[in-house]
Amino acid sequence: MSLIRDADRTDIDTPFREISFSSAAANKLGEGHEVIRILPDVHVIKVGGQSFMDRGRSAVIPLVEEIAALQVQGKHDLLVGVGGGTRARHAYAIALDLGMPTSVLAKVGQNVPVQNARLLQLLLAKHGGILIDHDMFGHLPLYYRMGCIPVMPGMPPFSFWEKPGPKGRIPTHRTDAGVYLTAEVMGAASCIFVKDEKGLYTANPKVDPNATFIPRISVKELKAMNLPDLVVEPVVLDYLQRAHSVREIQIIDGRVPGNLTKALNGEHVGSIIYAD
Amino acid sequence: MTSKTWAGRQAETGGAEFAVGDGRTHLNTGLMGASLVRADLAEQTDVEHEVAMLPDCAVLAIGGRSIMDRGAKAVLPLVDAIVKAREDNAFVVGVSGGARLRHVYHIGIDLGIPAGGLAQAAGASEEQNVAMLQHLMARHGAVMLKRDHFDDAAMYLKNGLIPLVISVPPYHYWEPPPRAGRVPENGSDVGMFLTAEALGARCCIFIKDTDGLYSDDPHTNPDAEFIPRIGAQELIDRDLPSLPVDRMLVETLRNARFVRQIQLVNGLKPEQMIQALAGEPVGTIIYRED
Repeated sequence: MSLIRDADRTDIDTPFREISFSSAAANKLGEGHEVIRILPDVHVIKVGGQSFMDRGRSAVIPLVEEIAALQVQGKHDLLVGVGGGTRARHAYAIALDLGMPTSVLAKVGQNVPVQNARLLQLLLAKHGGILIDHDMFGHLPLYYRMGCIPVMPGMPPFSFWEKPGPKGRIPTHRTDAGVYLTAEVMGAASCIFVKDEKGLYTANPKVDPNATFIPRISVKELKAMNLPDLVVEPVVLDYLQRAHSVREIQIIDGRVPGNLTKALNGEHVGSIIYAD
Repeated sequence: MTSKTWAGRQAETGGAEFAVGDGRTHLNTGLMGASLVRADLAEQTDVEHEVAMLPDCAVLAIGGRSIMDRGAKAVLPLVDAIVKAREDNAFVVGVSGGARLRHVYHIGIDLGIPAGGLAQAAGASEEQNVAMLQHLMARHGAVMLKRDHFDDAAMYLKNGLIPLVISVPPYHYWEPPPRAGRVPENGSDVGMFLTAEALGARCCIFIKDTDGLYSDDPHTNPDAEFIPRIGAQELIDRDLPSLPVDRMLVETLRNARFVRQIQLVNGLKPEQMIQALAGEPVGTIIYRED
């Protein structure tokens, strides 16, 4: 590969040189190449904000103890992402009332998961819990070598660059999407969402007593059901379908002792949503 | 200010207080205990007018391959025009990565790096370009605006400076897997447009090396037909073989709140940029239809 100098510009001779990134040809160039898994042994888990952190001690402490016990066994490397919860909703509510656009909501939405990640890290500190942010990704191998449990805020770093949707102003990419994309780019061993329900239901089980539990479903089937509510951000389903590495997620009730451990061992204890 | 207000506003539910009883401690707001994924939330949070941050600001997006890689011959006259235009206009300026970006994508794909890794590596090419532009324009008040420090932008613009912004959006490792192939879909063009949206800018001008949009790449196809004005959806439906801007930019434009059109001008004819800043219909305008 060499430099190409002509009267107009200095170019580099690559197959991308003369084609538009927006062309079908550019898409073809990437096809067929194997995608590496960056950290294939790491399990990414997401601890819910509203569903877990906002429950305080009764929910969080047993989960912390379970994670600590796992760390002692040394069987699993974990990356813990944390959600926002009711304070995020409060900030969104105020911002919405003030007429703020999606970009500002996404920016404001970053702060609450940081608070929750700090709280969780303080609880996990004596077991090796460390707080990481988006810029510290390159250090992860070091942290695992040293037996750490990295805890990160779940919100992706999109900030003001979150795209407006067709309608409304709640950011499309929140902490579920952030944690799922973390797992996918790492090529993680699994991606587990720790919530306060057994998993996915046909409706919100907190509101609708007739909601039926769905133990296992494909993205296509789930989308075809066109449910009024969902246990994860809908955009996660789109990304699952396109993913190279993490082709399923499991949603579990983290309040049941041992559930997380079982899920990490590959057992099916909640709802599994998988790519077609 | 807004004729249609957010349907869940706090006044209707009382002040923000704690609510307990289901094992979780909630703050009582319009979104209390709510699932943020329920289907009706988009409708509920929609308003006619959102509040813009810096509505008098324009955004200038300079092509990497189309302008920067041409070196002094293309860049210096454009820089002169930008400095001149600053007398009558407030704007922020960004530039994309060009040939080096294409090269790092090529090598990265060959190595099996996932889209998020490519996106993380991509930014450095563009940072080199923006560093050079800042150097050229420093004496005229060009300053780097750190990533999302938009609060500084207000100060810089009030003081007649030229803030330079990072064009690539900060998706980094979190770049969503592309729908096809491996090249990240959210490049500099998307980033500059989203910067304009976040600022609530008055216009967003893309400065490349053609007079605007053609039915095919005019550098390789002499029969390509010029398109002076086209809707974003119409442009997507036409499915042209090549676009001078990221396809994702055109898709995102369909949901624009503030920047409801973008303008493509020829940076090799710097007067086009000045005309575009004055609101003249030079080059090509791509607009949100509804």
